[in-house]
Amino acid sequence: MVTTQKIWSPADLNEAWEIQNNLKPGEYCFVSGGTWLRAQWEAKLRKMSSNLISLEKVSEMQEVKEQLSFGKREIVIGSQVTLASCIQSEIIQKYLSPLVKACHRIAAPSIRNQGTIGGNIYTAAGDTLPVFLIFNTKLRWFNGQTIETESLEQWLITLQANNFKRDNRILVDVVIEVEDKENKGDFSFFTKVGRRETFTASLVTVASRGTVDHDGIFRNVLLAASGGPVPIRLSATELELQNQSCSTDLLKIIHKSIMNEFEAITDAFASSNYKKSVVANLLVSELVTRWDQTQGGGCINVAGS
Amino acid sequence: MWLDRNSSGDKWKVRPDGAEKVTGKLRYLTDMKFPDLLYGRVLRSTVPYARILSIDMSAALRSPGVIAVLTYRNIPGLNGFGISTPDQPVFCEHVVRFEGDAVAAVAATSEEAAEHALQLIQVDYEELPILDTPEASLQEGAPLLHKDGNILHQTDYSRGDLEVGFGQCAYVVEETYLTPRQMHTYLETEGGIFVPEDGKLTVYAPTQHGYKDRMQLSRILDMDEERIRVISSPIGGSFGGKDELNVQPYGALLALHCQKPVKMHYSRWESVVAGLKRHPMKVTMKTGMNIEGELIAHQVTILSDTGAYSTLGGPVLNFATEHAVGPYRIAHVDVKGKAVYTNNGVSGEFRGFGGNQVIFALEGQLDRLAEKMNIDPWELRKKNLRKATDLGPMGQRIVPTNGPEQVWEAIKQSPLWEKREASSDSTKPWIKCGIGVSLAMHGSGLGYGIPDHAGGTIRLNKEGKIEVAFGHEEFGQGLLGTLEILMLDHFGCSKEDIHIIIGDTDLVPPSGSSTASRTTNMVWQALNRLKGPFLEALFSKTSQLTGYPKEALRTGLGGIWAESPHKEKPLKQVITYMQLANGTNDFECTTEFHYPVTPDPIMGGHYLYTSTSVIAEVEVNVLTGMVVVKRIDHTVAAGPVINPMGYLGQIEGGSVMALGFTLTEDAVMSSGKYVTKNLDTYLIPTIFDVPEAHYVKAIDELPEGDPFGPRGVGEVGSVALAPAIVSAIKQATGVWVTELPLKPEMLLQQLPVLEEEIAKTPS
Repeated sequence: MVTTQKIWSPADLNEAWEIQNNLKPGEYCFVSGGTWLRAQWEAKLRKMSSNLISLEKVSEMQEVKEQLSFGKREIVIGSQVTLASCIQSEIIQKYLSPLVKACHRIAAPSIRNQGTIGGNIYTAAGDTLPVFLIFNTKLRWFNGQTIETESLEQWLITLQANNFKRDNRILVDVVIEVEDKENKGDFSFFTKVGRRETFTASLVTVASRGTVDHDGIFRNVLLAASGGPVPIRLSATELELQNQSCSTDLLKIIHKSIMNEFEAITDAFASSNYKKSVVANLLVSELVTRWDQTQGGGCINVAGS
Repeated sequence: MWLDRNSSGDKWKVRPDGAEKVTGKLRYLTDMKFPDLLYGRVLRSTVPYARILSIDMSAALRSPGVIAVLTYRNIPGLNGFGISTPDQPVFCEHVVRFEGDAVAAVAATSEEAAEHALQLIQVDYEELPILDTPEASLQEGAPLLHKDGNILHQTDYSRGDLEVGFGQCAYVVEETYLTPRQMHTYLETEGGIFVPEDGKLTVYAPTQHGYKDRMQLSRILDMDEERIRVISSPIGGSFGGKDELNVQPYGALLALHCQKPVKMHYSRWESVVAGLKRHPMKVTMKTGMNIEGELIAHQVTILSDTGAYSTLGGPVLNFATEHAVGPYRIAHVDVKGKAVYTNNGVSGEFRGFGGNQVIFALEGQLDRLAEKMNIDPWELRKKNLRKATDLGPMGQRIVPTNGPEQVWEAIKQSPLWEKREASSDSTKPWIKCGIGVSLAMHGSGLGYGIPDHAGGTIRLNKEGKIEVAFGHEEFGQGLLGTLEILMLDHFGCSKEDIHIIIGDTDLVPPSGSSTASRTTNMVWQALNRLKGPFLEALFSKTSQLTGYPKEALRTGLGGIWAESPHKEKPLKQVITYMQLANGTNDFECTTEFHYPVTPDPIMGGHYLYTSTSVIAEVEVNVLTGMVVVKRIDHTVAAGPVINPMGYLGQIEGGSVMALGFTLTEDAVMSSGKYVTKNLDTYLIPTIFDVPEAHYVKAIDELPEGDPFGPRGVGEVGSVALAPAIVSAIKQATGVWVTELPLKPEMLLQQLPVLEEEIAKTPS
């Protein structure tokens, strides 16, 4: 009648792997904060598995740390780190401010206290993903033997190609290479648009980082957006921006390029065209703003004002 | 008077139920438990329109923990409910007409067992082509959802001659306005506990009219009304949504069948599917005025989607018809309305009661006409406003009111008024600012032709407290606070000297419903009627016991006080309430009366009105089409303010509801099924979406000699914000919005494309 559930709490990755191996596919589900899963279960979009494997006791997945690797500074965020912890982390505040903003815009405090970075990534729909994309984030997975590394962007592309079927690897943490210090002209931003100003699922999110050098030239700009099947990097548009100065012509090109490159999905509340327009509008307006901030204004007056 | 703590003085009272509510200590009826409690659940059709071929409940009956499974066969009385027309089956027999229709109910020893049993009931349906819009239901040859057809109710009001009227017009505006299927979204979803005992049934379930529930249950259960006791307060919000029966038929049938207490409590999911919504309306208005800006002709058609069953769909349409004319003088008027059955969720009573939809349209017409004539829209309103002694919107006599003129003038005291003409664009070029103003007059009471009883009882109870009993309900609006203020004012006693009984049909007299912005007025009138005879009885007895003359006696703290013949001496307590009561429930007085009603036989026509004006400031982000409301100010002309905190709460709360109606709230249905099944997709405003600044100016002067006292304010805060916001959006962007809730996408489509804007600027 009422299904009996078993909750597993492995102490380390090997134990987690062993539990998983002893269960048949479909009989178990890994649970981080469970905030997304709970909503799925309630909506009957997903059946609650009879075995839930909690990873909250696996210590190597719980912390935010910085490390040096081949002379480069890396930030490592354990997949079980909560969204609230990300917001509070001094390391993330220092090196990854758009991630703090993205976490802030997710749900309400009670959800952020439970929901984890790993869960937000693993859904392939979380609002943090565009931010991780613009930082060329790497995912580290436990495959039962070793830890393997894969770029987030590649994982998302493969996932979509495989019809969102996930393998049985366990997401251990994410690794982000950061600069030691911010240079003049560096910028980054994250913007979310939902159907309500606050506490709402996103229709689209955009994120970007890059540099406007002292000559007013865009350098190394990375752009990402969500609102389509999976969040994506807007690589073609990035190329259009590279080594260009801000001008009316450039902005027209960028706007058009984003409209062409970004694929959005129509849902019950917004059409794909609307989402594409909003992504293009937001990115162009933010780029103008950042350019103006570094150059003291004067790029262009957008939107007819 | 701008209402706040400072302007209200000692009338600013902490509400008596406030501390318990904010600390979570208050036990709502759905928090209650009883020994041997069973849990009830309803099996709903899940298909919007189908013939029932068979129902097999054998597996459910065999399931562990299941005590009973009931269907239409188990109803002793009428298989139907509905305040106005009982056409909603308790359990469907042959046909289901919407996805929330009930087919069976289960009682089990646990919630899980009841849930599981629902899955074991096999219902075979033959699905039928659905009617998911009023237009589809009105098509020739459309299947008939009810035996009398697909039209629940029609209205037709006219005066003058439209053809002549429009012939005199220099400016004519015609527009169609669409409004959403708004959900009440009470914090406490529908629920209750049903306890059978000694041949009686006690119902602990929220409602807005306990006696009406008792009557309806009596009809279904085939049980004398006197054997049913309805206990119905406190309530975690209603806004009209719990006026109609919801869990009661199922809980009552299961409890009587099992002879055990049964608890029912809808999840939010079930509440969305089964609960009432505000009627979506399509309102088309053609309005004309002459070269001087005088409104001459006004033609209105209203198409209302009432869903599968009636409840109060008819009266809501009556209300919309009346309010489509508004507080304006127009010689030639024609309003036609249709409330149409569909296979959508049931629409029914909701704060504003059909006024919100047509006021949005009517005020939109005034703004558009002003634009055509190039005149200030506020001046255009002034030119056409009714005078104090004019007839009402449908030509009925109404209590003289200069409310519309008062609120028209008073809104100019808002700081937003000064900003209205000034250019106030934000420093960000893609943020556009605008300010809009609107006005409305809203009727209270149920209207002509509908029984609208009122009454109350007062006594000195045996505990020595002045006790009042009213058949009204506390659902958050602040009735208890208002009653406390009124009683302390009347009797000069302390809070400890009074006792208030509401929401229990065994203990209170019939007082009519707690709806239609009528309750404050009703308890005010009742206490005024009761005070004289009650004091006479108290003072006669006191005089008899103490020898003080009646004329020297006063009620006060703890008991009866006497003035000495030498008035400079302080009052002296001569007997306590406890001594006077002497262990008896004595000195009881009861009053019964009818809500004031127009003498003219115009069905649903109102007699007492409240007026309001609203000014709103918005910011529109032209990159996204999103709108943020920065500030709202209201003026309200509703007579004396009894309970300032409650008054302010009603206007603020109504306004937040109207903000949702305007910007985000829509219970979206697709092919007869709700798409927005929970609060993650049905979006009400959060506290962050509510403007920080919202001031309310209460105009308490009534025309000289007015005997009717405070008018209701329960609904008026929700009726006029939408057109003010839409007007502000127009000022900000040049775009007229005709469909609510506002769709940022539609706004963005009408705004210049950013790429084009960039192209226009020089390189």
